[in-house]
Amino acid sequence: MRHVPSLIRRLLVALLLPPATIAAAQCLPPTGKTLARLPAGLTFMQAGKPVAVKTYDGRKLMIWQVATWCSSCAAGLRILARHRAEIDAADARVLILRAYKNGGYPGIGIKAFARKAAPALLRDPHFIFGDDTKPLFVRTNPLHEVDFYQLVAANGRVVATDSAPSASWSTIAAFLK
Amino acid sequence: MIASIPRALALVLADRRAAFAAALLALILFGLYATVLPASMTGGAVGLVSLRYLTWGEAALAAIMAVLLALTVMLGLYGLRHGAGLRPAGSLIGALLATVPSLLCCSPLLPLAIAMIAGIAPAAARFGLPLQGFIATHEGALYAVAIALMVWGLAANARRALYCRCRAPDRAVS
Repeated sequence: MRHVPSLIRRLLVALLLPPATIAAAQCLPPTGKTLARLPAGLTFMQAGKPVAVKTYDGRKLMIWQVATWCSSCAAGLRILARHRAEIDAADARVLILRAYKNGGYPGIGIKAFARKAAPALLRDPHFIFGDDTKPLFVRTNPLHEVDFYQLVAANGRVVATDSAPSASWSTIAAFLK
Repeated sequence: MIASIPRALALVLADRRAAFAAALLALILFGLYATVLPASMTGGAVGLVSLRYLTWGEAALAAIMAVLLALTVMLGLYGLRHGAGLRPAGSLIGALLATVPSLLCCSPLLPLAIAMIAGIAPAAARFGLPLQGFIATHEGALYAVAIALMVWGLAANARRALYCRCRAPDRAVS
């Protein structure tokens, strides 16, 4: 029985570590610093040309930064496709941007990613696909997360930030109403 | 080494209470893995939300991991009761590694940890995102390594269970 204290210690580590890791993941704030308004002068790239984010001023806007290797991003795109009618009805715009340098790891382009996960969205004018620029990525996404989105009201205020639409559709649905 | 597993399991699970405890533990662990593995689809969110994304493949993985861990624990406990030491390193690392792709690939956990580390060592900041991409694109390999480690842990415990039975037959429980 001389092994018992050591066994108890090891069993405690084995049993407590996975739930503790999960709990820590659940308790994380959904974002880094929340911006009251989007910084001025931000652009993203579409078909090799810069497009100003302010083009969508006056409409509800979701800016979603994804990496094309990220499985939760693909799941999120499928969720948006499933709720496409609600997005269209609110006349909102969803800006889906391949994160700067694809979140630091190589992968396919944003259009190929959309074709794979939810091709119908490519034909919907409410969904805009493009590439992040470094200023947009750095200034709006302080932790450099992938699968990170911001919901911008028609008056330009950032009303919510969160990650993974696949797990937080209710936040987006409330914003669209 | 692997050949000792069936013999050790036959010995340990001959006791009906041990067999019941192993089944119960496997069921609990299956529930845990079945909610954790699909979390790669929910940005690390675990619970009913992740369970909705459970695929047949992930359910099979969860069942394999749950059974391996439950049997390892039962063999370990048997060995311990008969005076053998316990070395759960392989199984423990395997069990934790199995949760890495789901919890780290697309969740804010790693970026937040890197941001905290970068406050002390700025050079660390550049490793955060490539690591997430690597984990996401090598999910299958990571699960394979996790299962291999669990099998190794199970085999080690099986050998220990049989060894202590040979050394101290008078103390072996029927």
